[in-house]
Amino acid sequence: MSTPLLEIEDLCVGFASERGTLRAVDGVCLHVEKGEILSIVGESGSGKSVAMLALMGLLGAEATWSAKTMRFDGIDLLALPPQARRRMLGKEISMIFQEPSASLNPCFPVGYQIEEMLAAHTQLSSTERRERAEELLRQAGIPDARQRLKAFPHQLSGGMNQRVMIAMAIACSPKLLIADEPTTALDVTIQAQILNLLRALVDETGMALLLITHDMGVVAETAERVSVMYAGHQVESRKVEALFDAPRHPYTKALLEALPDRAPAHGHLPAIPGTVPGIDNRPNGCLFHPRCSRMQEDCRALEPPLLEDGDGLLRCFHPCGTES
Amino acid sequence: MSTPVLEAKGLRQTYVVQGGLFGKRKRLHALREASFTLEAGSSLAIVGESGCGKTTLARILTMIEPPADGSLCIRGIDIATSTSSQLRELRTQIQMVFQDPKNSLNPRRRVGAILEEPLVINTKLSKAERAEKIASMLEQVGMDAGLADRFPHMLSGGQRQRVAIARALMLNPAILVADEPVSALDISVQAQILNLLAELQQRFQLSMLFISHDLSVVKHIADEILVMYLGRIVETGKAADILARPKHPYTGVLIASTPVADPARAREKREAGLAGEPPSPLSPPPGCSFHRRCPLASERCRGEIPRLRRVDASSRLVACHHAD
Ligand SMILES: Nc1ncnc2c1ncn2[C@@H]1O[C@H](COP(=O)(O)OP(=O)(O)OP(=O)(O)O)[C@@H](O)[C@H]1O
Ligand SMILES: Nc1ncnc2c1ncn2[C@@H]1O[C@H](COP(=O)(O)OP(=O)(O)OP(=O)(O)O)[C@@H](O)[C@H]1O
Ligand SMILES: [Mg+2]
Ligand SMILES: [Mg+2]
Repeated sequence: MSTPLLEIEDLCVGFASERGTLRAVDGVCLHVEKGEILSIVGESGSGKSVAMLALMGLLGAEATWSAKTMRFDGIDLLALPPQARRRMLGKEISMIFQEPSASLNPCFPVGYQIEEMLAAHTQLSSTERRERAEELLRQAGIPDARQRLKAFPHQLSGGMNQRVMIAMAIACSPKLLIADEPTTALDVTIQAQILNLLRALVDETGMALLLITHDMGVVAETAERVSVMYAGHQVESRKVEALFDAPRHPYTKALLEALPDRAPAHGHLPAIPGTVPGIDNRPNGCLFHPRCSRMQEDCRALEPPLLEDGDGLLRCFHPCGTES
Repeated sequence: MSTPVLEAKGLRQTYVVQGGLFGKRKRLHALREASFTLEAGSSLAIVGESGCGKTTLARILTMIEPPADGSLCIRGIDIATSTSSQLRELRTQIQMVFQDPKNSLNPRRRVGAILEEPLVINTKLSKAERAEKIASMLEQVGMDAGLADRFPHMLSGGQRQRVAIARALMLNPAILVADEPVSALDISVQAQILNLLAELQQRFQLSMLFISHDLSVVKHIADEILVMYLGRIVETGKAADILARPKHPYTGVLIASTPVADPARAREKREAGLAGEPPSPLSPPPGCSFHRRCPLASERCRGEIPRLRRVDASSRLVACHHAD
């Protein structure tokens, strides 16, 4: 096996609070190969976005983080001074943020914002930048791209702003694209177009794609491998077919069972009982045990380690598909 | 129970935008002749291509912006001729959940204060009663009561979205207009929210207008569907009918493009999709807006705009020359 494009070992992120440091991300390991699509799924608040912000060096001052390894394309990110790291961002690694308002400036036309991005990271002339910006908007499925370059974010629809962010993120041909819920505001036909665009970039340029999404249909259609998170932990990680066919972690299984298209219309949806523990009241033992249907005595006391399981990783003492 | 809680007739909206050469101003028709009714205690889902005017319609219905033309009656009161005290009362009865929660929550106020505000302004509840109501609402949307002390930026995307839902429900509104309210939620939390809305609907006759791009959510929650394309309503009727037998070609494509949460089937259907570029509201095509992408398009479709018309014995209306 070649060395992966991105290698993260034991990533932890904490937030300072009156009650001490709260752990939002705990022991996450990610390996992404060149030209691979890895999807991260997991309950709301499980630490998906925070983990990616840590990688991008974009966490606020109240956050502390650590990792055993964090390498990108052969470069040790942990040893890189912050300035050099920031230079890499936007060019080599770029990110589509979950909410458009987090990365679009309301005071400038969107075309200007894309062109600024190109000016910072490429050698293109200003006419070339204008043309490239228009081309990018068109690729993102925005009709009348030339005119829309002049629009301010508030003059575009939610899904159009989302596509402007996508255009910005792929503008400089990154080696790794982190897409945090990139299609939440898009109808299914445009979503399909965007996913085709991202897949084509993966196939043609060898870009790796880290796709955070809660849409299991998108996962099934797009990802090669899936990593499942729960309360700051990675609980399962494996190839997409195996994960959907025979989920091993009880949380993964429950998540798939809650899919609305597997439930009857207007019936009660099988939500997982209870709520994901907040980062300030995590239980002892396995973090999922209070809501787990397979819970046994040892789950209460001991925290299961993340171990190899078949061709993937699993953090569970009593996985599905084994009787004990 | 046949008095509609909301009745829209011929609603239109146009925006003036910078366009063309030399910054000439252009009119953008975001919404054209939208007429429909919403019955008490029922839910209407609005679906359609990104940028087709769904949010624009929602903003008009919630009286955030006035329509350029058309009339709107809420609970029998015509908003064009209502008194200011009637309007104030209506504004508490109709609440909106915005598409981008980050934009709609005040970043300088804590979650608790955000949820308390509508109670302080509109009710005579004591401080303790308000605190109790806030805690119970947070629990109902699946959030730890401890999150009330946080500022919005300290929450995950899905947590912010749930704060926005909780805020809209604080005053027990009669009508909830929700713009992609569950798009950032994982399926288990999504199930919990959908169950909550269904329960409110039964208990308090809550009427809902629900914008969503996720047809499995729509199927689950909607009684009726309204399909929009480039600012126009192209099909409406009972949700079950439309999803089972779409009559407008665009509705058919939407249903066929929905991602399926099954990796084996997903890869086969990848090719199905919509050919051609979406049309632009800045320069709409003549005739039917969909004709350039429609397999049924004929000479008539290129010249004549199809009207919404009844095509069978049901309440279904379709705007297509070829529907029967
Ligand atoms: N600045 C902060 N201070 C304190 N806690 C924070 C801060 N930012 C995030 N958190 C907490 O960290 C946890 C993980 O957040 P994160 O945004 O990574 O979740 P997520 O998995 O992306 O969820 P979602 O699917 O809802 O976007 C959440 O419980 C959140 O409340
Ligand atoms: N304030 C505004 N000024 C100019 N144009 C606007 C304004 N608000 C909306 N528009 C335009 O109106 C059209 C409809 O926008 P709207 O936000 O209603 O779409 P939408 O159906 O909600 O799309 P999405 O699913 O992407 O959110 C778009 O072409 C948009 O650019
Ligand atoms: Mg997130
Ligand atoms: Mg919208």
